[in-house]
Order: sequence, then C-alpha cells, then structure tokens
Amino acid sequence: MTPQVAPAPDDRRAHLADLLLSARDGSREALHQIVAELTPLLWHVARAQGLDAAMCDDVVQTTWLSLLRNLDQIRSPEALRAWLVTVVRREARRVGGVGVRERPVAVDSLESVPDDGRPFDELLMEGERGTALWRAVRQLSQRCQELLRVVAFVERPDYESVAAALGMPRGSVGPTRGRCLAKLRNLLMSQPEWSTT
Amino acid sequence: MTPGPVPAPLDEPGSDEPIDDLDLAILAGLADLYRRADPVPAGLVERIQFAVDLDDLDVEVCRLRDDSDLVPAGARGQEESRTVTFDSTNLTIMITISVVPDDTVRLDGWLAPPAALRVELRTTTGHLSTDADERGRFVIESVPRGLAQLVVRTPADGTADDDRSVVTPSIVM
Repeated sequence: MTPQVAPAPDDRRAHLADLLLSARDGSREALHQIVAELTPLLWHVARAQGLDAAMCDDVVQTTWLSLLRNLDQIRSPEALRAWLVTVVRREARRVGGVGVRERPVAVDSLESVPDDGRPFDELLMEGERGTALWRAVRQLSQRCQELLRVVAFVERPDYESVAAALGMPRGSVGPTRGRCLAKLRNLLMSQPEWSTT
Repeated sequence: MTPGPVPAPLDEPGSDEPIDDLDLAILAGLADLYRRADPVPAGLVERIQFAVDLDDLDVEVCRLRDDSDLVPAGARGQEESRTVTFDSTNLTIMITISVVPDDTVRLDGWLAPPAALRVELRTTTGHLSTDADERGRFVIESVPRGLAQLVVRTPADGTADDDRSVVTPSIVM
C-alpha cells in the first residue's frame, strides 16, 4: 500500500492543476482564479523582503504580468508556485536594491484596509495567543521570520517554492524550517498562553 | 541530560522532522496574524485580474519606475496631475495624468526612443487608442476615472523580440 496523503492539500493541488490547464488553454476565468488563489502568498513573500506596501503592490502585479508570456511553459502547480515566488522575490530585490525602502504608505491605502472599527494595533494583537505568538516571532532571526512567514502561506510546505522564495538550496529548507519552528516552539512554551495546552 | 538528535544532512529533503499538529497550529496562527497585520491591499487582486485580461499574452512588461509620483495602482488623493514613468527593455513610456473639469482624465504621453507607435489604453469601459507622432508624443482625452492600462503595439516587422506588445501594470486614473 502506498502511504496515505491528507486529502485537502491533494484536492487543492488537483484544483490548481485544473485551473492551470484551463488558463493555458486561454480561460480568463481560470487565470483570474489562479490570481485570487496565489496573490496572498506572493504578497507575503514580497513583504518579507522589507518593502513597503505600495512597492509590494507594484511588484506583485508586475510578477503576474511577467507570467503571461511564460504561462504555456509551466506544467505543474509546483512549477507555477516556484516560478511566481522566484520572480516576485527577484522583483522585490530589484526594487529594494535602489534604496527607496520606506516610501510612505498613502493614507487612503490604509483607509482601504477592511476596518471593523477597532484600532489597528488592537486588531493585530487580538487574543492572548496571538499576542504571545507575535512576541515570540519578533524574537526570531530575520531569516527565520521570513521563512516561517512564507511557509505559513503554503498550505502544505512546498519546499521547492519556499526554497525558491528564499534563495536556499532546496534540501536545506526542511531542516531550516525545522530549526526555526523549534525555536519558535521553545519561545512559545515559555509563555503561559501557549504552555497551558 | 540526553543529547539532542544528530542534525540531519542538509541536502536530504526527507531528513527533517515531520510537521506535527502543534507545528501546524503555530503555522496557522502565523498565517492568521500576518493576514490581520498585513492584509493583501483591498482591490489588488481585482487590479491584477484586470491587467492580465489581455487578448495577446505574449507581452513585455513595462515596470513602474521607482521615482514615479504614484502610489502604484492605489487610489490616491487630491492631486490634479501627476507624472508616471514606465520602463521596459526597449521602451520608456512617460505619462502625465491630469484631471480635467468634467471629471474625466487627460493623458499626455511620450515614448522614448521616439516612435510613431499605436498606443491603446484599456479601461474598464472599453479601449481608447491613438497613434503617437514621430516624436513619440500622444494624447488620450476623456479617459474615465478608474482602472486603466497602457498597451503599446510595437512594429511586427522587426526581430522576434521587437514585435511584442509592451504593457504597463494597471493604475488608477
């Protein structure tokens, strides 16, 4: 018997594979769905590079436009993720390299963030566990923060695209992720909000 | 005290510890935190979906230049005009966007190097097109406010690399 794979990521992979096939056949609807599905991952990869929101907005859009003429050469969901993540990171570095890292975020772009009436900080720190997690994450190295942020947006850690995102050899992503997660667990376990479970 | 496990060789993908439920909970918690703290900007997905709706996908991307007076694609406040520059390998497009009294937008553009090329503006209500003159200048008037994207048709008689359309990201007029 072959080992069982959890159904959810498999379904999702199959779904993305179908969308990719349709998009390559010219379906705009399929391409739209792919954009909706993978833009959050690309956003967080770009943001993990330290660019401000306005720059990331542009970098993510440029990445999708660059995909268009390469679409017919991309054959699998893994290849699609890896391609997108590689390009978004390269684009982010290209922009970030010029040194304009702190362009102010326009006020109205903050206003466009869905707002349920509470202050931003409070939203961020909602829940004691959330607060504890945030405190712990901030104590990790930049490298670990970046890696875990990206891994968190790949449903089942897809080492190839994560490795591409972080410019690491593929084989070291697993162990590095393991080390970063282990550090984070240790930090969390020293906090009452998490150690009680 | 027992020593920890011997670190696995770095070049074996399967050598890391399997992810357990606590790891998954932590990762889910992280995703949730980042989603709250730093959400994908409202409208970004829609702006991208608009931008990729091109007839011809064999396009070259013209990137927003870094010093452009624009928060890319984001709706922005009260300026009456602003200048935005886009660069691709072989073409630079500079546009000045002005709001005119009837609340439409006028677009004054320059192509560099100068060339009399076909310029199309895709908007959410249709396409507006014009030809740049031999100095590379073009004007598009009565542009509805909202999302728009420039497509410059480069000549089909050049080399393979020259006959692509050049497209900009979508921006909010």
